[in-house]
Formats: sequence, C-alpha cells, structure tokens
Amino acid sequence: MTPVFLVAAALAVAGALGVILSRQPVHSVLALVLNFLGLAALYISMDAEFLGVVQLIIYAGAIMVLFLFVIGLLTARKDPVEREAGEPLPLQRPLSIAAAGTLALLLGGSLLVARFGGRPGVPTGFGTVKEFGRHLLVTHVLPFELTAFVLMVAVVGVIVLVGRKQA
Amino acid sequence: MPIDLSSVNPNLLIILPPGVLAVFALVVLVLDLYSQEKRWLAGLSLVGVLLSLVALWFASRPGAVPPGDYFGRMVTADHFTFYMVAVLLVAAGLVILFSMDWVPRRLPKVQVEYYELVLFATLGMMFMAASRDVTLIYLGLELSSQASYILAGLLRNDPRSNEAALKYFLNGALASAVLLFGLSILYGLTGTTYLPEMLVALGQAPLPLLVTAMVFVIAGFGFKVAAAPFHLWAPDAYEGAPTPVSGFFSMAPKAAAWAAVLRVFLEGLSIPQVMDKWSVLYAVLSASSMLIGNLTALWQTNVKRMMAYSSVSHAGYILVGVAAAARAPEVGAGAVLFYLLSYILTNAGIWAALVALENQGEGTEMADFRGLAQRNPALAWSLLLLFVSLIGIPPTVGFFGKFFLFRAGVQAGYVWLAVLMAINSAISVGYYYAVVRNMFFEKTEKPRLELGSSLQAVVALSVLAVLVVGLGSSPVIQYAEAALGLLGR
Amino acid sequence: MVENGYLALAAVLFALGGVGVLLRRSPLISLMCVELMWNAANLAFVTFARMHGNMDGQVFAFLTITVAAAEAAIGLALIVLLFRRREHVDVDDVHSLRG
Repeated sequence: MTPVFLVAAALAVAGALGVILSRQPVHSVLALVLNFLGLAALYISMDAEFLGVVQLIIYAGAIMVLFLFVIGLLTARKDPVEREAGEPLPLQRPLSIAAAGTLALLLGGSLLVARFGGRPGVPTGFGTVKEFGRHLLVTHVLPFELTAFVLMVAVVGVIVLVGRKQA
Repeated sequence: MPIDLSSVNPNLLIILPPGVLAVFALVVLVLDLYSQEKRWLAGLSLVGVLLSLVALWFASRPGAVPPGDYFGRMVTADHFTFYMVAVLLVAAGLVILFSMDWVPRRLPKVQVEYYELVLFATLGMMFMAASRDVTLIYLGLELSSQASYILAGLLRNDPRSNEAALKYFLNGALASAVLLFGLSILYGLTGTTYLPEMLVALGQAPLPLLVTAMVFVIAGFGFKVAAAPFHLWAPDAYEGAPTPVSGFFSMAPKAAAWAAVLRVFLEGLSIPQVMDKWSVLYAVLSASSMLIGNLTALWQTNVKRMMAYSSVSHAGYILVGVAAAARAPEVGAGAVLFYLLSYILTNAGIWAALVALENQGEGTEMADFRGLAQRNPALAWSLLLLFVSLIGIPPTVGFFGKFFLFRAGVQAGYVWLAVLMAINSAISVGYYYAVVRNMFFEKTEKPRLELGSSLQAVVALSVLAVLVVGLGSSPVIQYAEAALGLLGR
Repeated sequence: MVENGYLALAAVLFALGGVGVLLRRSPLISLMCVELMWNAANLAFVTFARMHGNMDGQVFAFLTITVAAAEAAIGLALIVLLFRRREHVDVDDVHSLRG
C-alpha cells in the first residue's frame, strides 16, 4: 500500500459517499469530481498516464460541466431537481445498504485475496501514449471507429430530443 | 496483431455489409439537410439495408472470406455471423418498411432522424453478432442501446414517451454498468478480451470469482433481453415508446443480445466447471420468464403492453434453448437461432397491424381491435395466422421454432423445462384469443381500415414467411445448427 | 500483490454506486451513481491491465469513457425533456404508465 494509493483511494471513496449522501445535486456533482480526481491519480500510479489525463479532461472536465450546466438550466426555472418525492419503502433503505455492503465485502474480499496469475513488472513502454496509440489504432481500430458512431448517435439524439426543432 | 497486407481482401469483404450500412446512414444524414421532400430518404434507407444484404451475400459465398478472425481479431467470419447479420438486416428492413406511413404523420419534423437511428442501431447490433471480442460486443451493444433510448423518446410532446425513454435509459445504463463490471473480472481472470483465448485461460481461474463474473454478465444481458425478473422496464418502454419503435425493440435488439449471449457463453465460458452452473441459472430464468410473462399478459387491456409481456415469455422460451446449449451445443444454439428468425418474421406483421391502427388515428387498446374482421377481413385473418404462429400451432413457423426448442430441452435433460414450455404455450392462447375474439365476434360502426402499400407488403411478407419458412424449415435449421459447428470449437 | 487493493477499492466503489441507484429517486443522482459504477469497472480494467502487462484493458477503459460521455449526454437530454413539462422528476413517480 503506497501512500499515493491510500490518499487517492480515500479521495475516491469520500467522493462516492458524497455523491449518494448530498441533498443538493450540485454538491453531488462536486463530490463526483473529487472521486474522478482520485481515480485519475490511481490510473497514473498504475502506469496508465494517458488514461489518467483522459479521465481528467473528459470526465472531470467535459461530462461534469455538462451535469452542472443541466442543473443550472433546470434550477433556473424552479427548484425541482433536489426534491425527492416518494419516501423509500419501509425496508428498502436498510435492505439496500445491507445488500450493497455484502456485495462490497464478498466481492472486495475475494478480489483482495485472489491471485490472477499476472507477471510481476510490466513490459517497457507499457501505458505510454505511444504504446496506447498503437493498440488503439492497430488492433482496436474497429471498436475505435465504432465509438465515432456512438458519439454521432449522441449528437443526433440530443438535437432531436431537446433541440429547437419541434417534433 | 497488425493487419497483414496479403489478407486485405477478406478484411474488406467481411466488413462490407456494416460498411455499406454505415455509408448509407451518413449519406441519409447529409441529404436530410438539402432535401425538402423527406419521403424518398426512407426509401434510400431501405435501399441501404437491401444493399447491405447483397454485400453480405457476396461475403458469405464459400471461399470469399475464409473462416477466421479479421481486423485484429475483432470480426469473425463464420456461419453464425452471416446468419445473425442477415436476420438483423431483415428485421431492420421490415421495421423501416412498416414505419414509412407512420413517421410522416407522427414525427413530421424528425422523419429522417428516425431512419438514421434505426440504421445506427442496426450497425451496432451487426457488430454484436459478428465479433468474438468482448470489446466490440460491448461497444456494439452500447451503440444499439443508445440509439434505442433516443428512439423511445422521439415523441417529444407525449409525456408517456418521455417517461418510457427515461425509465428505459436508467435501467439500461445500470444493466450496462453491471455487464461491464462482469466483463472486467473476466478480463482480469484471463488477461484477454478475446473469447477463444479466454476459454483456454479460464481453466486456472478461481471458481468463486468466475461464478461472480458470470452472474454479473447474465444479469446485464438479462436486462437487455427482458428476461424476468429483469423485465420490469419492458412493459412501460413498449407502451410509452412510439408504436413502430416498440415493434423494433421486440425484434432486432433482442435478437442481437441473444447472439451475444450465445457467443460469450458458448465460446468464452464453456469450460465444464461453470457450464452446468450457467445452464441451471438460465433454466431458472427461463421458467420465471415464461410464467411471469404469460400470467401477467392475461390481464392486459393494451395490446402493446400485452405484446411486451408476450415478448418476456418468448424470452423464456428462447432461454430453454440457451440452457440446453450447455449440454447439447449444436441443437440448443441451432434452435435459438431458428426461433429468433421465426419470432421476427411473425412479430413484423402484428406490429404492422398496430401501426395501421395508429395511422387511422386510433389507439392500441384491446377495444380498438373490435370488429376488425368486418373492417378489413384480410388483415384480421392474417393476424389470426400470426397469433397461431406465436402460440406455436402447426403448420406455422412458430410451431417449428417451439418444436426445435422442445427437442433441444429434452435432449439436454431439461424435460421439466420443455413440459413447462408446452404448458405456457397453452396459457398464452388466453390472451391472444382475447384479441381474436374482439376482431371476429364484436361489432363496430367504424369505417374500413385501410393499409398503405408498405404496410400491406409487411403483412403479406410476414404471412408468407410464416408459412414458407415453417413448411420449409429443414434447410434453415440445418444452417442454424451448422452455424455453431463453425463457431471455432 | 499491491494491485489487489485497487481491486477491492473498485468493488467498494461499485457497491456504493449501486446503493445510490437503489436509494436515490432523482434521475440526475441515479445517473451520477451509474457513472460511479462505470468508473469502478474502469478502475478494475486498468488494474488488471497492469497485472497482466497487456494494454487491452486500458484500451477498453478508454472506449468505455467515450461511451459514458455519449450516454451521459443522452441521459441528460432525456431528463431535460421530462423536466420541461413536469415539476420534478422522480423515477418512481410515474403517473401515466402503470408499473
């Protein structure tokens, strides 16, 4: 357990807790950014430099700004986002927490002790932008191209759903 | 693995069908900007689907593409791919055809976007069926799901459509997160995302984690195919979504998800230690889907909602074949593949009738079917035949589909499941008969129900296919069973 | 191995996201919790990639990030769409569709 791991893991868990416990959606978003910062640090500590940077730029940057923007757009009208109408069913809260706790304990525990047969150490160049790009654009070129269509669908969809053109 | 130049030709051929479809989707997208008249763009989309089928025919000729993996092991050329891609393209073609009259009426401002989204969704599904690498299977699933979420919400001014889309989206996103976590554990256990290598490496994997990953993957796919108890989103999504879109949901995305299930479980997770476990899990899911789907369908008054529960029960029937495939791979998977085709062909006609009712400004309640035999006898008799096929009475294609599933179940030792399937088919007579009774034994004052030429074509194709594929089922089932023989095992 | 700690963390984050989806009613928060779960899976992918010393896991995580961005955009669009006509959005609070 390196100090980097401990600090980053604490950040990530604190962020996750913040997301599910905050009453204000804005606070949830900020907690989520905290979580992403922790994850980015973890990625970099595991030789995934490129992914760490991408995590910061896309997640903490783009996606979270989108969330904030939508919250701003919606709360400008009234205050609907944070109202949580409809109490959970009587036993729902304790049962959900118990189920998730069991899941975390069992899954986390078995992942903690499992041996995955990996080799110690990594090949040279592992995780660098150059190596990453080679994998992305040579072996994984087809999935990479498909993400272009995924983004295209998102663009078309957002325009169709909330654009000015009335359906 | 870098792409070898000497193999450029088959590499291009194998992605020609999805390539053609992608090009047409983009061309339609651009032409939309310059064209005032939108109707011909629907025709162009249909041409794209047909040309893609032609390209598939070229690629699937013996010797054109040697069996194997292409594009860095991402796309597989085998009978399974060819069969499933053809089925998906047929489904997409039928959906475009029965939407042609509906879309200009209900979605006048976003007509072309509708067809684009259908094409993009189909593109994703083709890769789901064609790949043996979970990376591409997952991405294809996401592409088709995201297009589907948007399609469900296209009726912007209808709150029910909005709610249906949001509910579908949240459930789908959760399912995809669960699936992704399962896949990540599988990758961790084996160090690869390529299913055949995964199979080899799984031998040394610790069993508890492997079973956990398997359960996650089953739950994730269970959502996508709406198997009970993961079906709760389906009735609302079907009822709230635009009617042709609900028809699309019941046909194409499910078929693609079944293809992915067969790939992942038969090629990746078919080591003896876990095979029996997933087989039993699928058998339990199958029993619950059949019972819950059929018994709930009996109480429905809305036909779209009834068809949603009916599709849950059909997912249960298909699961008989999936469970059986663990013990008798060729027979089980062959029966599943055949049933997918039969279900799509049968469903197309029924949804076309629902679309026709909406085209005349009527709803899709049970009451709207009153006196249909009086208003359009040909349509009423066609519907009767299609319901007979869904129940599984000879000589329709539905009977042969159920027969092959039954045979697979018995061969694999799931006699109780096969018997349960027969009992459930009998239960399903109840709700299909409710529609038939309304059509034939109720009187109405409403005028004749007119079908546009494209809707007539879909109903006619559907009826014809139900009879022809039913009576001539032996080559199809042989191809379907051979598809698995070439899965590379 | 030191990486096992990362994996346990991924499991904990995944469970936390799951609890959030089960308990919070607002679709906006649900969407954030699903993002948490996706990121937990990504963390597992990156860790496993490090363990096995091959890049497939990292590339998978990268593609997932892209997909999640698109999915978030669509989800937010659907939420905005529903908001325009309703006072507040609530997954359980579905009036016109029977459960």
